[in-house]
Amino acid sequence: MERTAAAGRYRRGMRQRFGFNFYDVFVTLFCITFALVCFYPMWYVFVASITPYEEFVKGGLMLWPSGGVDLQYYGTIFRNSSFVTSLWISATKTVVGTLLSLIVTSTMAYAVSKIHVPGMKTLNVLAVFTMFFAGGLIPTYILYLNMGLIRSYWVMVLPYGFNVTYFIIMRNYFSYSMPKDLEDAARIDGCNEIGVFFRVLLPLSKPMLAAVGLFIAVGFWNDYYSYMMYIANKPTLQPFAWVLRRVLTDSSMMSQMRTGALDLGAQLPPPMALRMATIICAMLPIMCVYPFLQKHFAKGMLIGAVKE
Amino acid sequence: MTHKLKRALALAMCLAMAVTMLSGCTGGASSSAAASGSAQAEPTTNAERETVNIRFSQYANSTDDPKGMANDPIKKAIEEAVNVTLEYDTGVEGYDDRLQTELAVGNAPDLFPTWGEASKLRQFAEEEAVYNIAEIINAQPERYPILHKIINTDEYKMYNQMYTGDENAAYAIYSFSARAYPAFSGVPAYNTAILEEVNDGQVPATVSEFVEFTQKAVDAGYSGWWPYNAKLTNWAEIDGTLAGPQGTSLRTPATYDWLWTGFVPDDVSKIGTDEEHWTLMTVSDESKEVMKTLTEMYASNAIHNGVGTLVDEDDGYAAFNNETLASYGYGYGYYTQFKKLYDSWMSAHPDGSLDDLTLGTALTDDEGNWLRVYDVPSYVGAHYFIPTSCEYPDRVLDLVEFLASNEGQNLLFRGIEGLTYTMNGDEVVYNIDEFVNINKAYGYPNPDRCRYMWFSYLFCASEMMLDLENNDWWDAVTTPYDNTLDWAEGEARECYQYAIDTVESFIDNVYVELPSYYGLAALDAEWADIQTNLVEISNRYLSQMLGGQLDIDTGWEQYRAEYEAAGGLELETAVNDAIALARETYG
Repeated sequence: MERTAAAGRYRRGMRQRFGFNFYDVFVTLFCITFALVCFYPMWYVFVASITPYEEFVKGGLMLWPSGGVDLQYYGTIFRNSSFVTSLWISATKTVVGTLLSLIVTSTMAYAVSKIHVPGMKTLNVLAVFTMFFAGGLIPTYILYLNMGLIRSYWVMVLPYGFNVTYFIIMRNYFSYSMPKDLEDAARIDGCNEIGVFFRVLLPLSKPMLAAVGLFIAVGFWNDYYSYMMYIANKPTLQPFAWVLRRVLTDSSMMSQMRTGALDLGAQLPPPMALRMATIICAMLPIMCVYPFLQKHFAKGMLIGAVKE
Repeated sequence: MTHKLKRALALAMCLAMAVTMLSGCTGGASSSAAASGSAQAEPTTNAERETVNIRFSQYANSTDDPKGMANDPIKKAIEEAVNVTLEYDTGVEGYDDRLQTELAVGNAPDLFPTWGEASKLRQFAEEEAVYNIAEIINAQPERYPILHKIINTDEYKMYNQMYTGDENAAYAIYSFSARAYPAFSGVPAYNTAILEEVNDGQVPATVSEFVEFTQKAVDAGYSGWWPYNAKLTNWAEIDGTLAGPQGTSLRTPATYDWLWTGFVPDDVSKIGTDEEHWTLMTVSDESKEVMKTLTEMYASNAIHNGVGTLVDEDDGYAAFNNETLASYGYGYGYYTQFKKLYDSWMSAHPDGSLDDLTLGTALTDDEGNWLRVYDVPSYVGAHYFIPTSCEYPDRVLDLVEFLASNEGQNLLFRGIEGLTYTMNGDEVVYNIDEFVNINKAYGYPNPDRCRYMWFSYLFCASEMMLDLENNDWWDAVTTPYDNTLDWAEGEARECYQYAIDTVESFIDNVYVELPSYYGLAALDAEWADIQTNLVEISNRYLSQMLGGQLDIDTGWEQYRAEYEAAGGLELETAVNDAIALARETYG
């Protein structure tokens, strides 16, 4: 007992004297180490993508590019027409898909949050039902086939217009986090239901929309399954994630890239360096979006977590 | 209210199910009606027949270059000859899943392959997912003279019998695999300069000499050997180079491999007789010794440390090209593999020559016992199907008939006269660059094979020219024509000839041709899971040992115990039984 009290006094003493104690030091060190462990693989990939190959094959821990910076692999990538086209496809499907998904999901979530409206409970059950019981690949394929979506650009966008997970988050947000008085005030000021939603609630939901939108956008950016399964052989519709995947797994894709570099008079680039550069190219655009949404992000992450 | 809601929901779901089932039934009926309608067509030439779009699928090509594809003269020539339009379909990742899904929903390509698995053929036939092409061909022998001849040979019927029990039912085009030259792993190629520097130009002939050479290379600042495997779990090259000559095998029987992989015959002279017997060597003491050597080599970079961390053989080429790697076990599957290494070297060293590379030999042990490779000379490598969802199977068979003709084979393996080849009397003069230009559009820019990227597997899984018009099917597919030495010229020809001659100098000591019935031996389906489990056990233990995470002396007994407990011992009996059954049935 005495020892505990003494230790307590010592801890208080240390914090009073230095402003921190051993626990703070431990937590800080742990967090820094953890951050480094998370960050280093990405840094390694980046360094490998700009390191001359003679240096890269020596292996070992790479903290920065030894032997100078070599950007030729990026040049090879951007001279390849598949890459440029696929970047455009990915960018458009991410923007269009995210907007569509936000509009469809948020409007439905708002509607369903009005449980006093007849049929909304049923709609809610039906929506959530799809979260637990999906149709499976073959029925889904048949559905898309009958809708004329197979082998079209829209098969990568339309089916993801409604997202159940974010629907639940948004529905809770509209039900529990938005003051009802605000809606009443808007109605008194002359807004109809559409006006209430678009002119009052939606602008106030920016943090939520930013957080959810970012998750949806990342999903669209990384999605290659819909192309692989439902399109497969239309190079003009390949998303970048699929090209990246092929660079990692498909030797004919790698062969095509390397020969493309040769045709342009460059040296035959080593596959691993090309892979690293491709990974960086795939990561960069979506990473660039984060800082712009940062201010909304922390706030948005808590949305739907607390019921008032 | 809640009850009403539940009832309404249940009713809606039942209705939805009923509608789905009904629509499924009508879909099937309409496609078969269309098929039977098309079978009554009267025209006698392809030009008079309906122009249809045929979607043809083949694994691992590329369709990334629409412009190149649009200008493909071979595709145009085939389309004109058969009066169809061709749509090419391909993929690597997800390819099989997509194909299965498309087949299940009635949207499969009009002509598609599988890897020749008997189980899939049976399944497709039972589910009526694919046409019995024999029925269509035999109904119009004058329309399909070559196919009619093929499917009515005794050998073709024997395969029909084996697959479905009905010798007159052919559900696929059987793509036969026969090589013009034997193929095997375990022959390294050397960087001549490094070989001179560290070994006085002496090509290692025994396992000990080879291991010593790789160590000398390490001492001189190089990596010793890249055994043509990206993963630490792809053991074929290591096995052929180091384990095989020492009378053992590190490999484990796998569903995707030959039944006898990982086995060694007790007495080679008894093969083909009632006394033949094979012993599983994967966890033997001999394999343990090989593993020790390998571990030491990997620890010292005598096996390149990129093996297991870098991804594919191109990384090995890259290391070889930048002269940090002394030897490359290029998987002497074929002389074409050596040419690939040579081409890669030449693209990195435009002033280089064939002399920069030295082709090694298969190794022996210290007593002079050679690596032994046990192989069947020919086997079915793929099946090509026409799905029952295809509305014009007769037109697809028109295409297949054309490709089986000498005119079709000529297009696939010589290309277009005046463009990819010219005739000088009876001699064919190839222009390989033009052929490469065509294949480039499909992701194959390498000037090492003269064949069109599509349909080349259709009859011959080793992608060689066949004369099906003038020969019996069996004769044609077991003696394919390799045109390599016809089209190759200059250093390329020299390269091929060098590889072929080198291998011929030792091939008789190495290659053991097994009787054909070995290719028909199969284990019961329940062994598949056991084999998969054994592969996982081997990969786990051997990788850990090679990487140094598990001590071999202590780990080997653990490995053996787990391996045997997982069915390793019983597998030996099962494999010997399967071989015996195949011998009695087909021998």
